[in-house]
Amino acid sequence: MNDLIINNASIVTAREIIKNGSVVVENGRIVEVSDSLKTNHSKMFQVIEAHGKYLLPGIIDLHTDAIDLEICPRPGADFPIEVAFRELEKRMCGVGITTVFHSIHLGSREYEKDLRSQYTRMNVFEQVFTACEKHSLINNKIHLRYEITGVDEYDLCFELVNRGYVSFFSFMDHRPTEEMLSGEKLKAFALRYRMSEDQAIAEIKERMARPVISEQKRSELIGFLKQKNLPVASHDDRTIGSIEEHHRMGIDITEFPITMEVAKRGTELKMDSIGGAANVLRGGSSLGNLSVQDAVGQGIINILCSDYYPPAILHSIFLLVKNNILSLPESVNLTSLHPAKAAKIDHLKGSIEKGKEADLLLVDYSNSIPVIHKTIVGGNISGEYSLKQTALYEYYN
Amino acid sequence: MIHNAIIVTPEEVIRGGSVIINNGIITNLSTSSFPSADHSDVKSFDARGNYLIPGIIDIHTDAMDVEINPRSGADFPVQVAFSELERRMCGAGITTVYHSLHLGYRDAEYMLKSKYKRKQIFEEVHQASQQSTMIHNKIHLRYEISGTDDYSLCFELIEKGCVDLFSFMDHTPGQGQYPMDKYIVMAQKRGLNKEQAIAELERKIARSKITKDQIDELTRFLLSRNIAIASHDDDSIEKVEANHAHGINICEFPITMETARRATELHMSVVGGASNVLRGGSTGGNLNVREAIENGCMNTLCSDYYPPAILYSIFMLYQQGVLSLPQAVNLATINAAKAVNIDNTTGSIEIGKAADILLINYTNGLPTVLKTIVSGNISSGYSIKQQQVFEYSNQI
Repeated sequence: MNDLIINNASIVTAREIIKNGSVVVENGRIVEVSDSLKTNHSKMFQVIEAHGKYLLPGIIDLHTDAIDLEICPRPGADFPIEVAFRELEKRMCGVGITTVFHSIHLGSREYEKDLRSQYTRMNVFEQVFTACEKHSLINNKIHLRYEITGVDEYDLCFELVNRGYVSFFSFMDHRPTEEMLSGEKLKAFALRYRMSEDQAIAEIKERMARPVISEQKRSELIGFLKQKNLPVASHDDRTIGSIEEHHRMGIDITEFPITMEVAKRGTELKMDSIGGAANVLRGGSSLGNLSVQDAVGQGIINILCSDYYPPAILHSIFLLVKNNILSLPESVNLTSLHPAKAAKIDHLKGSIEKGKEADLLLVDYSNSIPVIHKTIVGGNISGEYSLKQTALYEYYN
Repeated sequence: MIHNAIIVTPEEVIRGGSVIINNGIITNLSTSSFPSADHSDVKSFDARGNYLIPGIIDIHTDAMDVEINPRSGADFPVQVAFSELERRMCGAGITTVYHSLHLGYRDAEYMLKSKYKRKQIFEEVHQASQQSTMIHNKIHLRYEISGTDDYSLCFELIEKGCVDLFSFMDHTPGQGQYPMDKYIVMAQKRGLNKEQAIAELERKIARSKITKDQIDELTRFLLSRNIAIASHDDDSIEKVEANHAHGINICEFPITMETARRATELHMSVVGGASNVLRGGSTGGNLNVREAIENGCMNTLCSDYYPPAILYSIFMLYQQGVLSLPQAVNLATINAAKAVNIDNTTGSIEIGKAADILLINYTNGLPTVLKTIVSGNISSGYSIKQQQVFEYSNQI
C-alpha cells in the first residue's frame, strides 16, 4: 500500500532542485526521480499533486534533548513514558523529522537533579527502546549521551549497547572550568540556581573536583562501540587540544564545538561537525558560543540538529537560504544527507535518490515561513496537515 | 460525511453512526452507519468503527510562553512558536485553545528572561491567530494582581480585542498554592538556606497589589464586553463566594475539595488540570483532580502545562469507571465551551455546531488521534505503521 506518485513538485536532491518533477515510490522505496510528470502508470498508485511545493528528504535529527523534557516537563512532574514518546514523535513528525535519535543522558547528576524524576535512567532507556520497536510515525532511535563523571554508570553503557538500545553514542564532560569561578559566568550560575556567589563557588568547585572515568576506560569503550560500528561523538569541544585528543581516540564526530577555531580543526581532521539549529534560528548562541550561521557559511559545521527545540531544523533550512548563506540543496544536506552519513545510514536514507527509503516532506514556502503539508516515512503518509482561515466566534455582545 | 463511527454526544454513545458536514457546520447526525438518503454527491470517509468525539477546548495552557522561550533567555520568533505550537495542539486533539499569557507576573518574567515585552507577545499572538491556522486560537490573559504597573495595559489589550478570557492570579506566598511553610521548603529545595528563603518570602509578601476597587472596575469592564473571568488557586470558601458575588464564573485550580465543592454549588465552572489526572495527583500536593471529579466537585479539564494530557485523561477517567465516556468527554468540550460562552457555536457533536471533531482510535488502552477536523477542515491526519529497522552490523 506504500506506493505513491508525487507529481509537480520542486524536488530538492543532494545537488539540485528539479522543478515540476515527480517521484515514484514502491514498497516504501524511491524507484524513480524524474524531471517530468508521471501521467500513465500501470499499478494502483496513490497520486499526490504537489502544486509546485517543495519535496525535501526527511530530516534526520542526531541530537535532541526533547524526550526527557516530554517525560518530565516540570521538575518532579513525570508522565507515562509511552504517552510522552507517542506525543513527542507526533510532534517530531509535524516538524519534518523522519528519523530521530532521542538523546538520553546517563551519568549526569546535574541533569538528574534538575529533572527530579521518579524514573531511573534504566527505566527511561528500556521504555523508550520498547516504544521505538512498536508501530510508530517516524524512525525512532536512541542516542546515549554519557557524562564521563558518571563512573558508576560505565558498565551500564556496555550493557545498554549489548541490548541493542543504542544507535549513537556521545561522550560529555560538563565539568566547569576555572573561568566559571568569577565574573559574568559565576553570576549567571548563581542566578540560575538562585544561590549566593559563595554557595555557587562551592558548588562549582565541587563539580570541578568530580572524578572521571580513566582514559584507558574511555578507549576501551570507544573500541567496543567502533567494533559494533556505532557512531561516536564528542560534545562541547572547547579547545584544539581536546578535539585533537578525541580524534586520536577514534571519535569522528564533534557536537557543538564551542569556537570557530575548534570547529575548523574538526573539519581539517575530516570529522563531522554538528551545530544546533536553535542557534541558527535565534541568530546566535544563547550561551555566547560560536554562531552556527557563520560556521555553516564557512563550511566548518556540516550537520544541524535540533538540540533543545525540535522545530528549529526545518525553519533553519529556509533561513540559511533566505540569508544567502547556502543554496537550498546545500542547506537541506545539513539536515539529511550529512547526518545520514555520520550515523552510517546514508545507504538507506538522507536524500531523494533512487533506491533510498521514501522519507519525504512536502513543504509549502509561499508565505515566508515553511509549512509542512505531508510527512512521508518509508512511503507511509505519517502526517498530513492543512491550514485554513478558521471562522471566528461571535460573542453575544 | 463521516460514516461507520462511534459518535460521542453530550448524552450518549451512538455506535455505528454518521455525521454530515456542510460548510464547516454539522448539518446531520444519524444513528445509521450508511444513511441511504441522497448524499452521494458528498465527499465521505469511513471511520471504520473508530470514535468520533468533539474537538477539545483548552481554556488554560501555559505552553505558548514555553514554546517562545523553551530555555531561559532563548527566545524564538513568535510566529514560528505560534505555528509550531498550534500544530502540536492539533495533534493532541485540541481544536480551540486559549493561549494563557501572563501579565504583571514578575517572577515568571524573571524566569523566562525574554527579550520580548509582554505587550508584544499579546499582540503578535493575536495577530497570528487571525491568519490561516490549523485550529481556533484565542488568548487567555492571566493577570497577576501584584503587577500594578500593568493594570492599564489590561484595558488596552481588551480594547484591542486581544483578550478572550481573563483570570486574576495571586501567587503571593502565604496563601493559595503556597502556604508559608511550604514556600520555605520549596525555596530550600532550590538551594536557598532558611534565612534567604524567609527573606525572599517577606519581599514577595510586601509587594503592593491593585486595590479592590480596581479589581471591581476591571471586572465590570470585562463583563460589559462579555468576556469570561476566572479566579485562580482559590484556597477558601470565602474567596470563592466573594469572586462569585463579583460576577466571576470560573474557578481555576481550587486548592481544596471544600472550595471546589462550594464553587460547584454556586454553579461556577470549576477547572482542574488534566496533567493532575494523568499523573494521579498534584505535583504541589494540592487537590487530586480525579477525586474532585468523582465527588462531583469539578466539571472542566484544561491542559495546564502539558497539552497532550487532556485526551489521555478523558479516556483514563472512562477506563477507570469514574465517568461514562460522554461525561468524561464533556469535561473538556461542552463544559469548557460553556465556561467561555462559546457553547452556541462549538463543544459538542450536534446539528448546527461547528464541525470541530476528532477521529480517535482506542484499541490499545491509549487513545490515538487519527484526524483532527476543525470547522470541517481536516487540519491534521496521522497514520502509524511499523517502521523499518536499520542494521548497522551488516555494513562493516
